[in-house]
Amino acid sequence: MEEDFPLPQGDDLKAYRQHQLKRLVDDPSCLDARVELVCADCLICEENAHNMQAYWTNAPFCREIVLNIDSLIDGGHADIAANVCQRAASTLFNHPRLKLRLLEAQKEAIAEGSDKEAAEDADLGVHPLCSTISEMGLNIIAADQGRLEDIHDSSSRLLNDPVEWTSEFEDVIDDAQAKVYAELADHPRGMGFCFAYWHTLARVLRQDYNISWRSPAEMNPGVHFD
Amino acid sequence: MKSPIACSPLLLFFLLLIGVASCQRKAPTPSEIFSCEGFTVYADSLREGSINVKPEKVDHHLRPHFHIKQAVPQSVYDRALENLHRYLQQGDSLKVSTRSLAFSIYLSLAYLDPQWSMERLREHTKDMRILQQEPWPISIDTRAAWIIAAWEVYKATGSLEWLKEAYAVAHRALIDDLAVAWQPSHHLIQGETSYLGAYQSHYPDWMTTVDHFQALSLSTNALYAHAFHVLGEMASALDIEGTEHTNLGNTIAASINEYLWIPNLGYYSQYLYGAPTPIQSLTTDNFGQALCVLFDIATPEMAASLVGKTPRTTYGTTAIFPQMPSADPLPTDGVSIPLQGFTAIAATAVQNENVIAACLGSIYREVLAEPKRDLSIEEASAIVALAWRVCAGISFTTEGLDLKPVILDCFPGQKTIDALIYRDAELVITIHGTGQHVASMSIDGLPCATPRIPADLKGRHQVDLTLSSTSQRYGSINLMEQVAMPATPIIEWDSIHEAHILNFRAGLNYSIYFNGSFQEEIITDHLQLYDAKSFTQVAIVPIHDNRWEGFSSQPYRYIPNGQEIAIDAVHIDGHKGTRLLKDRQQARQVVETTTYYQRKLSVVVNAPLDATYYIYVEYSNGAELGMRSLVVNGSEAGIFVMPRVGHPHDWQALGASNILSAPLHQGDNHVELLLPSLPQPDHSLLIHRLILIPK
Repeated sequence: MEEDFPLPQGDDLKAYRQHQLKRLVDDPSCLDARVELVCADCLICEENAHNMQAYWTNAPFCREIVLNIDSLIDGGHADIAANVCQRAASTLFNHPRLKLRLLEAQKEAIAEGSDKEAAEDADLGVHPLCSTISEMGLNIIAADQGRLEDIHDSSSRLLNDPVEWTSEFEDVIDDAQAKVYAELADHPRGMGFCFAYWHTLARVLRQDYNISWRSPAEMNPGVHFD
Repeated sequence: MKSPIACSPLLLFFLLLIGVASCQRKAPTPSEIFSCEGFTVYADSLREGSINVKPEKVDHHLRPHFHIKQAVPQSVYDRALENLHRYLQQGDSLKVSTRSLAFSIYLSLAYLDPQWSMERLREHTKDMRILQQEPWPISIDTRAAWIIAAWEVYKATGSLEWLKEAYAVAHRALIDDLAVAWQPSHHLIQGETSYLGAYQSHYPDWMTTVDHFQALSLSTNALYAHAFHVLGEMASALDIEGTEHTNLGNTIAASINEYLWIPNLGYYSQYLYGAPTPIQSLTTDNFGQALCVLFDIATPEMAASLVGKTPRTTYGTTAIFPQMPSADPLPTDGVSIPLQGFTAIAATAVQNENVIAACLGSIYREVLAEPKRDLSIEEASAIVALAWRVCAGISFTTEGLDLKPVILDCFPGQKTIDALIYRDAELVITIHGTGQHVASMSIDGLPCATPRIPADLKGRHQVDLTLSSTSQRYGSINLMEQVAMPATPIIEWDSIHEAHILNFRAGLNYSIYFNGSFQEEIITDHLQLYDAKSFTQVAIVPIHDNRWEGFSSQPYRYIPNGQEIAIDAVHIDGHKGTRLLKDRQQARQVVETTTYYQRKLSVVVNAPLDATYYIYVEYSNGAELGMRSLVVNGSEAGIFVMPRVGHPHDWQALGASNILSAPLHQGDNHVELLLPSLPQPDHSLLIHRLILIPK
């Protein structure tokens, strides 16, 4: 690890990220700045997800990770790269294509990483990650071809509207969520909030983006949500 | 300690005798199923206060038909069957937990629609592993439930193809579970009880997720004892060597009876808790108790005793008894229809008619009081099962159906189960009379020596059973009002030797346990610990009225000066630190391990003396549960279980793993943490310290 890592405890991660970007402007070949940048991106995503605040703004940070991850792998930081991709992907919702890119990058990083057994598994396509990648890939192809009925998400026991796999949905969901949370800013969180959230999101998607979306409650009529 | 007062088991015994005797049931009127102060269920109506509810007639032609002259059981059965068929029609769009599905299949669905049951059980697997909604291995009993349900489907069909498939899944699940959840000192399985957890919390507040995992629960172990028996039987039916599985099932069953039975109360404890030196909770887990009867874990004497002596409320058998410490519990707290179903079937096995009547009364009241409510799949399965498993007393075996009916005196006349499909046969079972003694049985008019329907019967057959009536209901029942256990003591340690009970309540007694052994009882708020020479875990348990125990305080661990060995992560071989932690001070003091990075961590531990040590890890984890095997001087000592500590994505909160034990010799010892070959997520675990304490 970077012994002189300057981030003070409790300081603003976004400011730290800006600092790394500045380092890269000054010296685009600075690998350490690039490593610190994607780590900061990952920690920002986790902080957003942890606090349930602005997690719909995570996509740009994840895109930055994807953009820089090859440099880490090539620069001998494959283990960190794999970890960053895995943790960032776990904070990303409603972005199947971007999530798939993170997981593919994670697989590539594992294949180049220090653990020979895991690297071999990733190379041979038998690493557990490979089946997730394969299923996501097939679902995205089905969505792109308009075959929504062929989408199967084994990662969730609940049914979700397959429209969530379409690029149209992925392109607008962050803006839509920002509008919904702004509208519900004064709505008390806790029991029952999910219904207000889903109802508002369905309306915003329909009115502003012409997307018809069914909530988890509509998709799972036998399930009791609170 | 100050003010010790000796506990008197004899006094407790007499108090219990008085309690049981005072709750003996008066003789019911002829049409009365169950009566108590709050309500009476008659064969044709429910009376609760001034309200009289008549059952609605439910019209359908679904099979198997159950014909009984009395309106209440007829209506409730028909309604449950109608609900069940609605679930069956949903097919793969049905969304229920694996646990609910498995128990529903075990109770009824394996016989109602074995093909549907197979398909749904298959859907709850992936890559030959059982899917569960609870976090594995903190909660593992859903997997045992799946195995037991799969076996029930085999018994219903005799399909070897299904058996091969189920065996492969079951074998894999039990081998994984054994690797992570076996507790070698008690020969029991660790893991939270998912069945009880679905209805209410039943652990003291101080217990962490890891503490839940380390508790040795009755339900979990009853399910695993039977699951290992089932695996042995599956192997035998497939001509595979399976004696070791059967033996393991026997070992767990024997340990349940050794460690969880409470001899002076005559029933089982819900769990042993407070690792590494656990004590017995005197609360009951009534689902687990029913399972111990159904799976022949309890001896016949124990089974009869627990069915008769377990405290039950007039509104039904509660999930646990007494209730969690709180304000006054409601009369129906902890009462559920599936639990009444399991309890009624257990009571049928020991032919306790009073307990059967109480369970039926509870179910009928609940269903009649809410005529518009849809029954859940588990509720409907439990009610339908009553017709087969209680009224006809059917036990499904690989050789056939054994019949041991128990018909309450309030159900005179013929009772008929029509069109029960069993393998290649369609059965019409008619029971004449009431009681529990089979006077005669015939198949198609030909008398049978034993009340059994063979598995190879083909075609439609008429089975007649005639019971010899009795004028009284057999079996004792321990009915009482709801009771809440006393509050869990909160202890403040003023020094390493002195403490006081912050929420002390005059009138309660407090039992003191050292390392799991009872020491003495106190009635003051202060206690003193002598200068112990070795590790001593102190637990304080409140007792109300010399009868109802609460949960123990959070155990206090006294470790004599210099005996704890704490090895910081910086001394562990491997790359130190992580970039993925905001607090860089903390980041430098950890060692990171993932499934693809630093799978093996090792450290040399210099032990001052030859001894067995308790060993655990301090770690942080902001994602899903991770596991590492502990290997000491080349010998595997168990698996550390490290669930998420704080909120999701919080990598700074510090937690402690489960406690393992291993022998160390004086001098240098080679200690390793290895990635076990068990399914687990890819993400990192941050190891902070390794702690070793001599026993």
